[in-house]
Amino acid sequence: MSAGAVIVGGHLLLALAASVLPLQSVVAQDSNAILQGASGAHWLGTDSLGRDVLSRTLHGGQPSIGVALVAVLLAAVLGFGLGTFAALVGGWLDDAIMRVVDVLLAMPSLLVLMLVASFIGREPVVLVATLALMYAPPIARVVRGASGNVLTRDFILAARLRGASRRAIVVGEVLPNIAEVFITEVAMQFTWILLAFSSLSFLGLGTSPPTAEWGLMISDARGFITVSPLPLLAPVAMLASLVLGVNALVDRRAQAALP
Amino acid sequence: MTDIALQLDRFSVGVSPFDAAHLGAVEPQLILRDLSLVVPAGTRLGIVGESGSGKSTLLRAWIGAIGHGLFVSNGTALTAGHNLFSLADDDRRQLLGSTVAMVPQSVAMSLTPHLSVAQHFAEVLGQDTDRTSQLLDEVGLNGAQLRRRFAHELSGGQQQRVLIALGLARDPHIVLLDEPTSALDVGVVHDILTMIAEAQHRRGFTLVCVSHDLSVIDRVADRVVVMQRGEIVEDASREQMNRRPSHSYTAELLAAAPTLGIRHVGADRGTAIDRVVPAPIVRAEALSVVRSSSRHRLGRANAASATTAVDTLTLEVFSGEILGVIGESGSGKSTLLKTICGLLPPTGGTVQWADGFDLATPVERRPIDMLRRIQMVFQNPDDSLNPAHSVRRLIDPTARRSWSRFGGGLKAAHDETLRELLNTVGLAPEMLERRGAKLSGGEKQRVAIARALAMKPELLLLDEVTSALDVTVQAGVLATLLDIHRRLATTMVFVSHDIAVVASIADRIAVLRNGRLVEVDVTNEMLSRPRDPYTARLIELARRTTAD
Repeated sequence: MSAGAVIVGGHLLLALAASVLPLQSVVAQDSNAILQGASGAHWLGTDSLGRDVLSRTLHGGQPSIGVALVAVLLAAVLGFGLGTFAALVGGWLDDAIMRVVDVLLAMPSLLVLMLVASFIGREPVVLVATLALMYAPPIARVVRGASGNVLTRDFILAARLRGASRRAIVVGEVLPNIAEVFITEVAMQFTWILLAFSSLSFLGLGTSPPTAEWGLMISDARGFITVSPLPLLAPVAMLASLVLGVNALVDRRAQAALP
Repeated sequence: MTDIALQLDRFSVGVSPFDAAHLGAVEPQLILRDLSLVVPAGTRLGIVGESGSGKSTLLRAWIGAIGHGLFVSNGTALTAGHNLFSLADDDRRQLLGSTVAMVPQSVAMSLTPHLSVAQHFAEVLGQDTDRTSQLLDEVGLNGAQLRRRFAHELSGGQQQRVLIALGLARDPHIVLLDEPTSALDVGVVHDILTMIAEAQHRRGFTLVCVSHDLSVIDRVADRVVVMQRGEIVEDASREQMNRRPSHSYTAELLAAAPTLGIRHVGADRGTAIDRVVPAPIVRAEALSVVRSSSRHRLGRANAASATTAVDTLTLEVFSGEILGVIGESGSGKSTLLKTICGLLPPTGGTVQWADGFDLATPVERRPIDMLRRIQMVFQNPDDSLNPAHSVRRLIDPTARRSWSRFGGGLKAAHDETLRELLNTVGLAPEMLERRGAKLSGGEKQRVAIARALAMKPELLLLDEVTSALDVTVQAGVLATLLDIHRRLATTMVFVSHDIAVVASIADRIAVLRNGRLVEVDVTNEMLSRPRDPYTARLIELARRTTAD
């Protein structure tokens, strides 16, 4: 098993296990013990409100990973659908779809997310939908390019001569040949969505206090870094290691796929 | 200059251990094994072998560049007395071009499309326009006119000539040619080989020419080296080899190359010919197909620049026959096949099935019964077999049944049926579970034929199905096709640029040129009495390349 798989698997396991592990309360404040270092009672110390950093860090993965996973799955479906559809129909419709994709790509996604969070709402459903919409275009572009190449090949003609439907061509002939780039792109977009969601929380527009969430925790703790670095470092380490882990995993997959 | 131009001394090349591990090989694999060879200055050597025999690697050893992932495991290769692998980069660069020049294989990729011909020469000669024109004239091009053209505006033959002229630019003593004619039409091949022979005669350089085609080597070399799996199996003068090859592999190569007038495969064709009914299974009348060179996917096209690929063609395919169609590239032969099977829409005239069904109907709108009747095998099996699928998945017409319009029409194919199918095309039943991408070129093409046969077609369209194959493999596939024809009486249309190949399999031959029918006649009739001068020239060129 590769290092990437271990890291990513560990993250998923921790996020799931956080709810059942005998951790301290995420929200319980102890005004007698604020910004303490690591100790037997609080393994990673406490934050500025005296909350247990270990518990908050482990729980903090749940909203981030959850939102990012759901959003990236939606983005993958949307991107794959758009990309293959555009490649399949060709002509002006292809151009029209890809220009819309270009426009979406040109928009700074964080800005759009902030506007949506400010004016439409900060409910998870809204954020997930917006994230999916903003991160589907790069997937659509990659899928469009890769499947365009596959569609020009003779085995597509052979499939048509055998009476294959459009769906059979997309799923049976095209998908197996672009799976590698598709999965890689989706995994990369997962890390971007994760960072975008955390950034949003950091800016106070994602999850609301007192929820434990990495971006929010970093935002809360950054003022006290000189007093106690642990409340800041713990979520940063988690976020960074997850992004690195996904990258390593994808890299490994890509290398294994080389002839 | 030494008397020995090129030399190999117990020369071996292996796959680097790292890459070998990547390929899953346990022992380091040798691409070239212990080769020793001496090429005296001023002589003409031909190296012939099938793909994978190591002939290109051998040629590249003499310019000190054997390719990524390979290393010299033993011995030396000397070029005009120098070992190019041990020279410093600057010294090596000095030798390349002036002492030894190599003309690379892939014509289309060796010139930069956005540079003019003159700019290509400027990289070698500086701004010497007189010399450039002179060189272009020498290779049979109009230098003054062609200098300003961009590389992408040239035809394949012109590009090949420009590449040779570039090779000759610095008056090399040694010229290495890698497959100089592999992608060219037969008429162009003839002219270029003549030009090469003349240039060698005039300049007296040492010539080494690599080809998979014995007839090409025959034209430009006095001495022939035959390679097989990284070893030299024969080294003889041209006359000696043609008369009495000492190695069985050479004899096999010579026998496998189809020659005009002699039936090499399927000698007993009587039964098949008896079955030809002069009732047309497909009838095309004044058929025209205009192709737009625009983005074209799944039947949709938008007109941009258009060419008339098939021009008022009237032709009948008789039930039970093998109709050969020959023509040079651009003659419209592939377009004709794709129109018959509904992949391209005709723009004029009619094309009908025996029962009057209009074959202008695109494949997506044909009834299932009609779809089944016409199947096609494509030129390059690497392109026509989905590399992601197993052989079973490739040939089973009921795979993914729910998504195919054949859904209810066919019962799930049993393993027995599929094995029988593989047997028909000469493959072992164990192949069923193999990945299509892992097969050899010949095996892949057989799988492609099996895939078409799985539909139980009445008409099999074969588009240059043997041109991507080595000559011995080609002979095997042709024999299989004849066997299928004899057993199943499937009507076939066999398209090729090679008249010798077509003549060895077809009952009748149609000659196409620029989308028009030149003539159509029974094979032997056409070979002995061609009515059109164009046909006569094709036959004469084919005879000359094999009979010289």
